[in-house]
Amino acid sequence: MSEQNSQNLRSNAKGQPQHVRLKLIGDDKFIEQVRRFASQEPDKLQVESEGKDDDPTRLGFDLMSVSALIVIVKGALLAGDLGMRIWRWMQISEANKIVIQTPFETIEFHKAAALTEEDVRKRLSAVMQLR
Amino acid sequence: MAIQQDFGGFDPSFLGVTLRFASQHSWRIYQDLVESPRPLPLPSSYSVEEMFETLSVTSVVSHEVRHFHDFFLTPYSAYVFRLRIQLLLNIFELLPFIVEGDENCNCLLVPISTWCLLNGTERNEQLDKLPQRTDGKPWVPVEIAYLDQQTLDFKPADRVLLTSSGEPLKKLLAAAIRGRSKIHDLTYNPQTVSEKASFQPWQIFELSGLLIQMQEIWHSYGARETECFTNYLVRSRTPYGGILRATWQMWSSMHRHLDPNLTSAIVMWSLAGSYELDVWEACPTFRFVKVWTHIRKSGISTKGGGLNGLFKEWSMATKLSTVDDGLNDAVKQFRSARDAVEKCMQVKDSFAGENYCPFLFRVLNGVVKACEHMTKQVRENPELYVYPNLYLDSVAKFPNPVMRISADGGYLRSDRSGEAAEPPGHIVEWAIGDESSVASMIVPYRLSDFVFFDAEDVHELALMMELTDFLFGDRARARTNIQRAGRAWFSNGSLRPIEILR
Repeated sequence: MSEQNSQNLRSNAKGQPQHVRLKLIGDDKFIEQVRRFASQEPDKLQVESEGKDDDPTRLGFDLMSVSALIVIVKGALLAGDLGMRIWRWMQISEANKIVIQTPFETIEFHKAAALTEEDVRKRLSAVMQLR
Repeated sequence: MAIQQDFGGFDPSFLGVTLRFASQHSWRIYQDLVESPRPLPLPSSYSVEEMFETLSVTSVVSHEVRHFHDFFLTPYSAYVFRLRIQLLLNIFELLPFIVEGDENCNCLLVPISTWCLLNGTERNEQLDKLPQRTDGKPWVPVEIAYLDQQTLDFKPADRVLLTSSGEPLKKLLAAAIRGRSKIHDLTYNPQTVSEKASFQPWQIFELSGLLIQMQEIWHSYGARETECFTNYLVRSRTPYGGILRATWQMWSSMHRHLDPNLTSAIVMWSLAGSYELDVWEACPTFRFVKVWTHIRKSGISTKGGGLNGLFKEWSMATKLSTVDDGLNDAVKQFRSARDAVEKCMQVKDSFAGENYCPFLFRVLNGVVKACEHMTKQVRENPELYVYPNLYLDSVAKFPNPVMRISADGGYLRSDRSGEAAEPPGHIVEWAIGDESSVASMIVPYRLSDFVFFDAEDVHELALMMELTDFLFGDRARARTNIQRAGRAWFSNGSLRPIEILR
């Protein structure tokens, strides 16, 4: 993990543990995995809000139904295996891609790109940093 | 392994053809195709997926070229394009006020169209949720006026010119938001959405491209391969599969096989509705449903009179505008977009007018000429454009597109460096901070001698449009080209764009 990312994990000025908000957009299977993980590991991931998209094809999805979750990723998951988790959830997804919005960038992972866990981790780590 | 099912995607921001590759693998297939004098082989060991992938890559150019040509013929595209140009002018008029403000500001919340609708409390909530800056300083956003409903409802008679910040700035922001909303009204028809399906204008454009693509596969390979491609699509859950399946079912309900020529004629008639005459009933989905309803009830006329005769009959039966009306409307709208830019060029003290309008005028002049050329060709011989086999044979009669290869959802690795990586005629956009990865690349392409656009101009306009999408667009923000355009634009200053998460 980069030095900058480890700095991100420090407490903020108010002494609260550092966390990052992300918006995850994917098909129902992907979203269900995220939701399940959040309910099992609330100290790592918390769902802040949920929504449905009225016409996902306009977002470039190949399915008629996608949902969006705004989640709070907590320090423990940030420091560890967020990239690995997202990669695994993506394998279960039936859509052509997932979209991840971080405060610093919005990106998409295409299933056809056959990304490895390491690819996802690196890209995610990069877009969660202020450049 | 999942295969890529969609290799194109026409967006009028780029006046040409865009091929998208999500992996090195699919890009390699395309490179093999370009270098091969014959259609790529399809070994018997190939799975259905591999067959589909190779056939898709082989035929995607024809599909995308059709979108490029349809664009110049349809009032729908002309209206959306005119609105996009108007939006671009408004946003570029705003830019100096947004980025040259208080030096203490270190971030700009995007999309601006969302930020300016948030009140003070909602804005603070967003800022409080941001990660701490590594330099320990607080996030200080560029000050952008909050727009209440009254400001949003304000309808200026003409473009708002900015000479100072304050009220005019608010009105220009409101005009930009309304501009996006108008584009949404045109591109999304809520009346053709159900719980399970959404039928939108872009799907009719896709059907137009698919018919040409199927014909291209027929030309290059044969019946078995065309069937393989079509069956795969029909069975898939992709939006392309959806529109093809629906068309298949419509023909089946009349106890007929899908007729590519007649389907293409229905598509052409549906796309050519005049908004000037029919207003919202010019929407391609509305016309498509109307003409199918008529055909199911009355069948296909055998009276003669060729395509023009059919078109006239459908317009009379549905009481909707004719294809000729539509072509007139398209020419009128494209000319109107060009004339508005010319007018803006003459406005004193307009930032956009002085800095961007001469360039925009040049590009829009090309758009008008391409439109006039296309409408002339179609009026002279509609069959040549509408019937897929004749279209492919005579494609050199229509305007030449600029071609762009784009990395979808990431970057394509380049094994070349320095000048070899960007040979003459190529325009390469590299990944930010990684000069061995290509984000997009314009490559030389010659389909016809009717050249109305310079590749550099098309590239420049696309960057400008993508920047406006980055700053104001609330959808499809994840596209590599949009993120890249925005981040490249901000990379030299201290201001950082921050995404609003809602």
